Amino acid sequence: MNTDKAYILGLIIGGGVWGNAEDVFKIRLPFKQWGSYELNPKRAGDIARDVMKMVGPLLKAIYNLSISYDTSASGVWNILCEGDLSELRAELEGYGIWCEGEIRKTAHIDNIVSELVDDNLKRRFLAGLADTIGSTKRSHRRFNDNKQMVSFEISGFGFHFVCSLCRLLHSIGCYPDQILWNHPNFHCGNNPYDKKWKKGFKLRVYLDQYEKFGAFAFVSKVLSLKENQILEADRNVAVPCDKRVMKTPSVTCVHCDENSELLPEVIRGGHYLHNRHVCAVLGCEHAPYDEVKKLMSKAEYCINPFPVLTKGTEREIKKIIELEPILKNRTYEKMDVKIADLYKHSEEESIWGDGDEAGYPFSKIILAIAYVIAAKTGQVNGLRPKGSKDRIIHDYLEKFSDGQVTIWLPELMTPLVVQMDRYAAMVGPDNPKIYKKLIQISDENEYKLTVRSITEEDLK
Amino acid sequence: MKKNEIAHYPEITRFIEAQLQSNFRAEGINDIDIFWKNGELTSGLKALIQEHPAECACLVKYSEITPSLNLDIFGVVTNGIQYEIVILEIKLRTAVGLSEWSQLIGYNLVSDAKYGLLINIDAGASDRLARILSFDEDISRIVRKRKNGAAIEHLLGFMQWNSVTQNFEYSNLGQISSLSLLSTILIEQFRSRLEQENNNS
Repeated sequence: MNTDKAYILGLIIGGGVWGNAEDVFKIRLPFKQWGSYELNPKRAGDIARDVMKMVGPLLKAIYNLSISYDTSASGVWNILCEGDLSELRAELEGYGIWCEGEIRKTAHIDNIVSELVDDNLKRRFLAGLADTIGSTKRSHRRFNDNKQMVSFEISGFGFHFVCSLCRLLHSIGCYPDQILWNHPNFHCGNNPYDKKWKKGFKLRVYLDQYEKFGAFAFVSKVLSLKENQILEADRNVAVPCDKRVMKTPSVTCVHCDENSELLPEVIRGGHYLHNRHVCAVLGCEHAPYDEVKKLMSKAEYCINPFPVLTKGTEREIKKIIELEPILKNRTYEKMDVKIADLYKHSEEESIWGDGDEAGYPFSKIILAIAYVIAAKTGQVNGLRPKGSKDRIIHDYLEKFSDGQVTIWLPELMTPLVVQMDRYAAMVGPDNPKIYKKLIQISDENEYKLTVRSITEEDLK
Repeated sequence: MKKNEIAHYPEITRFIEAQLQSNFRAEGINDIDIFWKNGELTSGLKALIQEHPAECACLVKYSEITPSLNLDIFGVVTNGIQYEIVILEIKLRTAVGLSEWSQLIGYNLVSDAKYGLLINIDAGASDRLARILSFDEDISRIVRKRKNGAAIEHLLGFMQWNSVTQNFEYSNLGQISSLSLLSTILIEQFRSRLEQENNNS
């Protein structure tokens, strides 16, 4: 190991794609719009310069490889590396990294990390990773422009890889703010029927933190970092994971893919309440175990065995109900309700419950109403209303002050349906006393929580 | 406001030192010190001996025989017993050419320093220098024979400092194509001398 190899290893772990050819592999830079020559021609020029002036001579000096590159309007760049790869292959295999396919999807970095004997070597390795998969897209802000992020974007299901990377950052004092795990509880927390949850991992670090402890070797990345930093009013300081308080998270549904074979065994079958709950299940030494336990002790307030909010056409919602006996075998009372009457309630309240903490949350009913209005009036991007829910409802009520939605209310506490014309949304009830009965702790892992399916008997 | 070349000295030496130290540590060598001085060589050496007597006492003899020489930067890599001198010739030009390379050669020959790096900030080498260094190995690896038959080797290289990324961009011009190669040569040298001394004792 040396400092130049550490950087190259970072590049290869982040972007290395190996095929059958003996003497060529590529480093894919998945920059998308950020690096597109159509959308950002100046930046594309910088990237080309980075590839030819920095990566090329480095690979030549260390492994005697020659490079060329290609790119497309989509903003994906490929650095083609050619030459005798035997030394590089042998080194990678020595670290237990097999030169097959897209490396970051399967790689374990623990063997490499153990050779990064000081902070500088760690930073060099991180710089290689950051130059490939560390996104400085402006949209990675948190809440507003004042909190800009570097987001390490990792596809695949390498939970251990992400955990190792997070620990590596932690070890140099660069504390990640949040991990978006590639798991349905995080990508599809509202809709248990949404199969499009495989959106990859995002390990987010405050830009200011990363600048201080990490590095980029690409000029294009450094310039982008500086542009984003200008938007911040103050410098952001991150707190170590074990010192952070975990706020009670939003309610998430129990997703049909929690048992997906794609998930590693340690994760599979579990339901996760918070991103740091996953860290505890993975056994990270920095996980806030006490906070996770506290959260688990009130997990019934954070889960829903039904959809939290599922949106679609009336036909799509009906189809879901048809396929689920517990939804199908209900008697639904049809009620036409004035939107203005529902909208005046506080979002903290719930309605149509049994008074024992059970009920349908107004916050979700309002979102459902906003969706059906937006869908009816052509203000949606897919299933997402364009603009804020309040503006959409407000504008609608200004035109139609007596506007109504149809509510289909079941006789047991299963999801209700909000409908307007051809559009509908399903809202699941909060029912902590009943949901508590569904929760179990795994025998193998005291932090792993499983939620069994709900039955009619549970609700009676 | 654009910085002059001297304003870049600290960031460049800090970076080189961090890379060399990491590479020594990665090889299990933890007792190396690296010191930098700007300006005149002999007075710089004497200052180092005074400031770090334990680590730099091995420089005493060298400081007495080496001639006075004005350098941009020189570095001393030492384990307290052995040392090596690395000369950095830093430029802030649109391109560096043969005259800057000649300057570096001159400094290394006069001082007997084994290693020399010509570093241009945010720019590369002239076409002529690039061509010469690409095709003539002897211009960056010079072996001199003293009257007493002892050989002195000088290894030189050219690199570009990127002031935006605070990182080196290699040119593959000259014998020292990378900082990791410089580290490898230094490590081998320190190890073999230590082995020699152990065998002698």
